[in-house]
Amino acid sequence: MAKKQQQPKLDANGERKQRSQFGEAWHRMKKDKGAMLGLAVVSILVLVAILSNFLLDYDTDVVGMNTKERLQAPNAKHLLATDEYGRDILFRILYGSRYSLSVGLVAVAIALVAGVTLGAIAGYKGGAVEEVIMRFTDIFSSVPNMLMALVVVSALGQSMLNLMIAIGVTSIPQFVRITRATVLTVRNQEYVESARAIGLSTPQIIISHILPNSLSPIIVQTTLRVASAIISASSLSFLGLGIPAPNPEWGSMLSGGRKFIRDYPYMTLYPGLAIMITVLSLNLLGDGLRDALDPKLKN
Amino acid sequence: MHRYVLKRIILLIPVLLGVSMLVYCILDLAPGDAADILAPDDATLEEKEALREELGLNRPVLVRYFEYMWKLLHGDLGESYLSPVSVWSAFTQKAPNTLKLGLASVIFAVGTSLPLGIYAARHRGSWKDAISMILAILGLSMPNFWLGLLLMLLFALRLGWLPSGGADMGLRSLILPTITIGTGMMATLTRTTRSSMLDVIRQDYLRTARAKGVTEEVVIKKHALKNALIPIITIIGTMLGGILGGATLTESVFSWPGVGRLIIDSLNGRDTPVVTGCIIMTTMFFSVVLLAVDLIYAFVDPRIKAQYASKSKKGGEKKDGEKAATA
Amino acid sequence: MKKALAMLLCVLLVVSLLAGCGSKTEPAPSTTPAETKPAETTPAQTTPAAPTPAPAEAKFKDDIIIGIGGKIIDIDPQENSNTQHNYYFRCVFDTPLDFNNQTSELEPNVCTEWSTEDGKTWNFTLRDDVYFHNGEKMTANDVKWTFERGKDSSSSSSLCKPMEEITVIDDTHFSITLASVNVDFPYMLTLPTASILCQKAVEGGEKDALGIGSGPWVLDSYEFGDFLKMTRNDNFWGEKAKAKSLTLRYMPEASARLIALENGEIDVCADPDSNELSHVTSNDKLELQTYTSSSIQYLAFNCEKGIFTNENLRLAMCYGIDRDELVDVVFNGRATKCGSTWGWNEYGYNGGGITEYTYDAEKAAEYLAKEGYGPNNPLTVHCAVSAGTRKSMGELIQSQLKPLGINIVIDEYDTAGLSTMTTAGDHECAFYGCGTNVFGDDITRLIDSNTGVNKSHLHDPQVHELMDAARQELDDAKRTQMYHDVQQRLFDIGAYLPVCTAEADFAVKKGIGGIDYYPTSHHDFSEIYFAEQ
Repeated sequence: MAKKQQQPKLDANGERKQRSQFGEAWHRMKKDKGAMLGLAVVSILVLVAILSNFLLDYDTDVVGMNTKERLQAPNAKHLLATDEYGRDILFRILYGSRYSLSVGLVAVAIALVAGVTLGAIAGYKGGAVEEVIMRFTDIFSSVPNMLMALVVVSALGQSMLNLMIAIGVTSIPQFVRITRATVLTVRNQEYVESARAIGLSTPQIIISHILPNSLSPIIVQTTLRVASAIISASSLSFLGLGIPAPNPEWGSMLSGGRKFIRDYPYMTLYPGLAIMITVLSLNLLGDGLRDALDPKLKN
Repeated sequence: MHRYVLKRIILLIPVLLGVSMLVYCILDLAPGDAADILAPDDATLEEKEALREELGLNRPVLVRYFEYMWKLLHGDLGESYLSPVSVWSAFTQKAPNTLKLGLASVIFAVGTSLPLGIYAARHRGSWKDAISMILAILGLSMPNFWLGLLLMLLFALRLGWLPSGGADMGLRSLILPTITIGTGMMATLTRTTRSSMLDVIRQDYLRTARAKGVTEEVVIKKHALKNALIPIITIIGTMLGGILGGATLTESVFSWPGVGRLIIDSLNGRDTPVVTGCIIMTTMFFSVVLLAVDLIYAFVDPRIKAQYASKSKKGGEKKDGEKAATA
Repeated sequence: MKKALAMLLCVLLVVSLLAGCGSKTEPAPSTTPAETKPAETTPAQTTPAAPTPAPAEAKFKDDIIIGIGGKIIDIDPQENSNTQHNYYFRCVFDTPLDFNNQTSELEPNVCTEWSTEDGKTWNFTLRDDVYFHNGEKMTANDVKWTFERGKDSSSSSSLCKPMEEITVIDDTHFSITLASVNVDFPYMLTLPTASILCQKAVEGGEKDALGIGSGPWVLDSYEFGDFLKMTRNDNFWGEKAKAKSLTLRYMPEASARLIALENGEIDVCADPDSNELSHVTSNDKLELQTYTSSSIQYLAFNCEKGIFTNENLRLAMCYGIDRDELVDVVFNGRATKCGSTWGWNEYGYNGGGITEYTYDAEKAAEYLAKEGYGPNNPLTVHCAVSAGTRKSMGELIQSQLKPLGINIVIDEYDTAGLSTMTTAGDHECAFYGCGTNVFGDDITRLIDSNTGVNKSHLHDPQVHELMDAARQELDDAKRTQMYHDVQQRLFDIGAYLPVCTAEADFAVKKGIGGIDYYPTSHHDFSEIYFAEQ
């Protein structure tokens, strides 16, 4: 056990320590079956999202309607059936990965930037600043996420951006808390003090010394939050507050197909499975990362 | 200790003020107001304006908000714009149903997640671990309304075992919505159980126990679980706190007359007092339950009690750390 | 690693199979649902089927539960006027007059006689055997008090405000003087907004006083946003109800509502989704009751500001939209295209034909070209919709109009948002709907008024003049001609594209009857019965 413990001697050089820490984590994660599976699926999804833009023509393949071929069962021409407007469900799911993933990623990016900044400031500065930030965080986090997103979207109006903002805003408190907690644990470490001693400014210290050392929990949280953002988007679609038609976001495909669920389950089955597999993989990946990045759990 | 409780309760006030202001003012940005909903199709613009005046909707939002606050400070949640009832009675009429459903869901989640988490921890790294975790996450990965509809199609329509909706058939109406919500809670709880079991399993005293020849079964049940329980209780507490606001979609799918559906309907009806009132109550419930859970620990675990006594700030930090772990 | 992968795949497979099984409760349709439906081509212009009279010898069940799609949040008939509230108002309250859906004639209700000399002052005779549910006798004073109260109410004000004076002659006689001539006034007294309240009960502060009427059902208990239960009025002045209790239960999800009916939890499912009707027709315990709605689904162009102040662009849209496809795809073929902006059930309807926009892409392209638009210089149009069929229509015209050079941007709102923004005139065009009542003047709110229903913000002098004259015209032939002229004018300027009126359905258990279906969707359940099979 002691053999693999990272050497605290390298602390002064944040860069090197970080690399070795993640190398170590990667080594551990490779052994985690669930995590590797999650990583593989997520990589494929990202690839699909990028490639679908080149392989599919948005106007004809994705939103172009052909009502003569509506509501078909899976067949040679439409491998995963067609929807109520005769659009190919497979194409829409492939292209929809762009929307679903970007809703997840952008929403979490919003939360990440806002949350980490506020959390780092709160943790590093302390005092009144911290008190104010944490009280605001309390306010945001004590309203149930779904209700908050619901209120925000119905007030701002429906658009992809507003959806991302609504979901992003509800995730901010988590990031503030995590960042602050980790910053608190590292801010009095020797290397931070030495950085301060050589005259680095506060933002410089936070960005180059404190944040890199708080990365692990933030990475884990980001992975899990992307997953829950995709679920939130589908829930909002169910309530009629999803992204505007005719864009093939999975959640809106799923909720749009629910009135056909009995006679024509394909319209819900495939987008539902797409969501399920994505969320599952992201969660497995997140869990794996958590295990791998947590030095306590080393075997 | 008393000071700590008092501080937490006092801190609740700015939170509630903030939440109410946030919700009330954001809602005002939405297009349309209650007068649009209330007025019949053929009302002239003048008639609508008169209605707006009657409801007080024609005044600036801040004025309305402060009036609302003033009443709130006197313990009055106000009146619904659309319905001839007070927000308090609308809320209290629906809250028991949601609490019942939420409680059942948490019980379901605990009943399934603890065994699953322990099992996963004992087989850490193996495929048994992976499968257990996948099972636990599965419920979370299916959008609630979809899972609910599928369950309804299978158990209500196809098999005819259970009612498809409503809350008036006692325990039987409770089963499907409970599973729908409960499976969504399993992921977090199983995850925490697993990781806190992993933490404990390698502790020295367990090794000692094993070395003494105590069977693995007893080690897990008697020693490990007891010590791993605190983070698990935190999660359960957070879940209990969230039940009032966490059943929105499921309530719609299963025609369950609860708070979530009341909030959605009121949101669609631009019934600001009801939405704000319900969210305030939900928030308060959440905070109070969390406080209660914190206090329960203090009694359970003398180490934490000592912490509260020494410096309240430290207690706060601990809580934040735990919350991070729950997410 | 491989083992785990294989296991995971198995799990996923099982899950997907389970999901598939769960949903495939019927054998997977090899044809599209639209084709499996019985090919019903009911012409829109039929009067609704008469409610089947209850079989004389049958045994009736005591309790009936109706699952409805909207919630009831008030018991006061003057404070709300939407479909679901009207279900309850029509059961519990009496209106002065009644409207016969089959003959389209006025009929006596609690008022036995009514007359006018000039269309301004109206005289009424009240029955003297009508008692409120609290035992009070209904008198002319209650009527007067009710209508005076209605002037300040949310939903009865448009009925009551024009009443200049209400004179009580004696307990059973009263007269109403209007501010201006309105030959359609008696029709308005058949609507639930004219429900008569009990003055003593309300002023005396009785419990649920605003729910005390004189109709065949008595308000028993309710929980807003959940259910409302009524019991039979054994002292009703007319024919008494055949069941002992009638419950309206709010079930927001259409598919869940139908499942509840199939599962036997409710007896009537209001407005099942048109995609799922085959489950009703194929089930020998259930029955589908269909009526043609008078609710026109239309596309309204904002004539007051923005691009659609231009008549050519409006007409380009009118001719460029293939309404047949809308009917087939969005309504599963269960709708009839509109021939005019007038409701088919409405006085003065011209029968369609000459005022129907027949789909003609070339004509549309010509109109567009006149303004310099085409595939090479596309026109961008924002179309406001709300969720459901309106959104589906928006998606479809988006794809239809694209080749012509019109790019539709769909702006989706919730119902309240759509209503407000179209009332304020912030839209370029919007899908909306309007249920038309039988009297001719009813259409005024759509085409010539300051109300929120005038979604085109149309203020056309010619239309205004004709509508004004028609309201005061006592001669039927002349009045009808004026209405025909209005329809022609509306067709020429293209203020609205009337799309269609839909077939609407109720799914019921076999044995349920007596529901009086109103084309306006404000049905009357007061004579509902459930005969044992």
